[in-house]
Amino acid sequence: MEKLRRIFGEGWSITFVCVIVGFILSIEFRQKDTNEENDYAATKKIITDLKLKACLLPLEGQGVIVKMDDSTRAVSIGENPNLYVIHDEDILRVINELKAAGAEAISINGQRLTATSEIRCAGPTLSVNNVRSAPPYEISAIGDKKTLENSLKMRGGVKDTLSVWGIQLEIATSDEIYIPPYDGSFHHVFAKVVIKK
Amino acid sequence: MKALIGLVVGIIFGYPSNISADTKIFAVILMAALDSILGGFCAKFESRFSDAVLITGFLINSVFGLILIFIGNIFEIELYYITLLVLGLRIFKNLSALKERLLKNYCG
Repeated sequence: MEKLRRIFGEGWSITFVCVIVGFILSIEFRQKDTNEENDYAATKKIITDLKLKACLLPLEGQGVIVKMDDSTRAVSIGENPNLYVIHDEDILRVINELKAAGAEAISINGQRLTATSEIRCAGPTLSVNNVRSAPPYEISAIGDKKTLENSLKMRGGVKDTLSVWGIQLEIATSDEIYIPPYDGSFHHVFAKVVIKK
Repeated sequence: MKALIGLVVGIIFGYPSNISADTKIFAVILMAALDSILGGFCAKFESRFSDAVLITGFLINSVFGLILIFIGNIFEIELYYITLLVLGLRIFKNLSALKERLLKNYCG
């Protein structure tokens, strides 16, 4: 005590305590700053991630564009013309193949495929996300463009099978494919979230 | 004057350091420090100031505050409110005593 008093003079204790006050104040100031920034950035990241998974964000990247159109073959008498028209099954086969090849995002005529999107014949048109469109159908998929292209062009694959009926399938790869977000709404009337105890 | 220099030195040392701890701990130590500083000024005006009393008061208050936080964390009770409340009361008491003293000195 006497030593400290000789060095710092009378009232050294107040100086000492003040040093501690300044120390704590500056630390708290810093901590508050970084905490808020981290919280904000983390929350934003989670939201972006969830939106990405819910197909609510527009995406771009390399991939393929598949154009499908009805057959141009003349229907001979006695044949069922239905065979030469694109059906939902044909589209579904293409989509399924693309998904199996690792497509990360798919859209049909500008309608983003979500987890609950339907692909369904509605008369001569196709209904996706309850939006109807007529042929030609343009399917865009983001993924490894080589893999996607090869998966469709595989021998005995989708392209071969569909060409039997004369259905036209054009596959083009691109490095900049834009896929729009899903702009409809979600309905969960019967589904309830299960909270684990 | 010394107090201000101390504050500046503390900020200079504290700002680049990367210490992170429970906010409760900082709150208790901060309150103990403010209490000690005001008590010190008060005592100076009454000319019964002692460095030893001030520093031991500060250390014991902080240590006991930290013990309360520790116990509170074990039982999940917010015991540190007690420390903040009592120290806060003392700060305001000291403040009013300081004010009285200054009024008496300068306004007759």
